[in-house]
Amino acid sequence: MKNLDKRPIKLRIKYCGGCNPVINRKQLVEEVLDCLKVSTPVELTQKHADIALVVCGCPTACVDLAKIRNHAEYLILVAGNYINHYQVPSDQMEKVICQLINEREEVKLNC
Amino acid sequence: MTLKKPQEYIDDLRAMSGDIDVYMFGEKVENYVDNPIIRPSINAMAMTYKLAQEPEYEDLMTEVSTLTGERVNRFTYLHQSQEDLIKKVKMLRLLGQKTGCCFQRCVGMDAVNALYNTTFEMDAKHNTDYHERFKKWLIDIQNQDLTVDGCMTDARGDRSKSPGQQPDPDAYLHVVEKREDGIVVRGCKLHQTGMINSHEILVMPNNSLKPGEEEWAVCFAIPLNTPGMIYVYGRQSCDTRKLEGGDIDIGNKYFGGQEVMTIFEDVFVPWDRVFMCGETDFTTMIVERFAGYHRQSYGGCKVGVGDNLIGCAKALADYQGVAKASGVKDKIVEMCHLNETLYACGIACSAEGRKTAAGNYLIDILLANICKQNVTRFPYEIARLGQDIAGGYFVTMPSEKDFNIPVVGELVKKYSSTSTEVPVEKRQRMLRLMENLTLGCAAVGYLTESMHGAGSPQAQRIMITRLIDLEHRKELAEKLCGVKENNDVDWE
Ligand SMILES: Cc1cc2nc3c(=O)[nH]c(=O)nc-3n(C[C@H](O)[C@H](O)[C@H](O)COP(=O)(O)OP(=O)(O)OC[C@H]3O[C@@H](n4cnc5c(N)ncnc54)[C@H](O)[C@@H]3O)c2cc1C
Ligand code: SF4
Repeated sequence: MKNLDKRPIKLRIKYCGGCNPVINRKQLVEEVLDCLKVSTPVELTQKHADIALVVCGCPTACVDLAKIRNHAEYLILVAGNYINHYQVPSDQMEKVICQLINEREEVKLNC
Repeated sequence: MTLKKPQEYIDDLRAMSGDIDVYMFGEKVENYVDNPIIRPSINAMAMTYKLAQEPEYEDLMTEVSTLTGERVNRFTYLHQSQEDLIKKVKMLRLLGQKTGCCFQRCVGMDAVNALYNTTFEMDAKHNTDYHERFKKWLIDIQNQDLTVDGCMTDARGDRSKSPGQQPDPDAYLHVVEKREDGIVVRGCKLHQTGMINSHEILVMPNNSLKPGEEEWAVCFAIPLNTPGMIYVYGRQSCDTRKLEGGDIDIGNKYFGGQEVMTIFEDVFVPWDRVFMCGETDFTTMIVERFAGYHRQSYGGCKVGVGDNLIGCAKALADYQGVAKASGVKDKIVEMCHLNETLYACGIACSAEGRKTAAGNYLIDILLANICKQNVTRFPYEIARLGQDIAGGYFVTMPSEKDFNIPVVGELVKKYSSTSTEVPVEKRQRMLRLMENLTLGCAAVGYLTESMHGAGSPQAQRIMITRLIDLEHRKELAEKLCGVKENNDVDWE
């Protein structure tokens, strides 16, 4: 884990509108927060964040990322079963997201 | 030179044609560029070059390449946004309108976009360098404005058996030898649209493969004139009309499609042109993405051809004096409704497209499958309505030569006329166009290709079953009728 910074990670969670989800967005976020409890202190915020976790129900990911990108150092985009444009098996979604949050120095993203 | 002129494209084919083994009607074709059966398909492809030259079509036909910074033909371009995906559909509709047939260049564009993002993800997992090889090849394609034929469908042998179980391993194209400098492949790709009027062939596997089937998991590109390639030109309904010398009975005076049996008889491919070799775990991705892009394409090209068919029905209604009848008007409205529904599907799967890890955009796969599923049906209904309005004369009318023979010709004209204001030849041409679109050469593309091209109807239904979340829908219903607790309603 590259989480050298001791202060809690400021995490902004942004959902899509949820018209036709192929994943359970709320449950996924709960699982991610649960999983982070063990490794990483987190402070949820709606303002400027270290990481923005954008949770979209389907691959279309219609959330306007431009509005979020300027208010976060890193952006993780969940779009149905894709994370940062890579397909991830359903049972590994929360693990991969936690890993990306913990290793954020390595995930300059291409969203 | 980034945007080739149509004449330069035809000159390219002429220069290549001496090195290419093409067979038709049991004979080797020496000069296929000027062959009257083949030439209409070259004309249709040439239109993709011609429109790219014209300022009034430039916005749809061209775009600035992210690979080279040059303006390139959209048929060689990597879609960079949902807007690009929409423009692709509009471009295909435009070309369908201009040619009234399958203009053939889209299969390659769809294969290029699918391979661009699949090779990227394959490299990320397997540490291979397919994506860089592919990019290098694609830059050449863009710089020279080349036409690429996308090849997926194998001969397939016994449909109940997978490639590894076939009694003849060549039923699916496969690698027969790996060398230090490249691979040798053998097999046959059937039904290849726009083959001998392309510059390059881009080959992909036909279906999802399992470990143990590595030799069939192969993607590569070769120029058309590669040694070992044999091309056998497919027949189309009414094809020999083109040899009769007239210009009425062929229906479409200028354009047509082309499908070719493409045989790879121990063909060598150097490594820098190999983009998958053994990665069975990425065969599903390439098949789904190529098919997805191509299922989107039909929401444009078939609609453009449909516009011609609607125009043909309207003209015949006018010429034959039934245009004011409410039943006829209503049938034309129904034709338009069906045609625009297909267009709506093409636009929808584009508007809902998404960025891939490689950066280019992919359509919404579910909606692209819905689009193609409708394409397997609606053109048949549009054609049925068109034939209904046309009456039966388009299948019983004498040959154009009979209209010009002494004495009898005058009688043929007399009994073919509808109104004194409509010259007989006008009606004759329009009836032949109806025949061409719904039973003749163009019906290959407008009807049977709508059924089977980019996968038979069942292939889309399998995808729809996989992609629709039925449990989610069941839960919605259960919450509404009280079978399940509904936490959304939390107010007094
Ligand atoms: C005009 C035209 C142009 C084309 N252009 C191209 C092109 O440019 N490039 C390209 O790669 N391909 C092209 N195709 C090929 C097209 O994708 C195939 O025709 C299509 O995938 C169907 O394959 P098939 O013709 O072998 O039919 P089959 O696969 O034999 O299908 C016939 C029927 O059998 C059913 N069936 C098949 N297998 C099974 C099974 N295992 N279990 C149950 N049912 C089964 C099908 O659902 C269908 O109803 C073109 C086809 C046409 C008609
Ligand atoms: S069927 Fe349509 S999408 Fe396919 S090659 Fe022909 S015109 Fe293009």
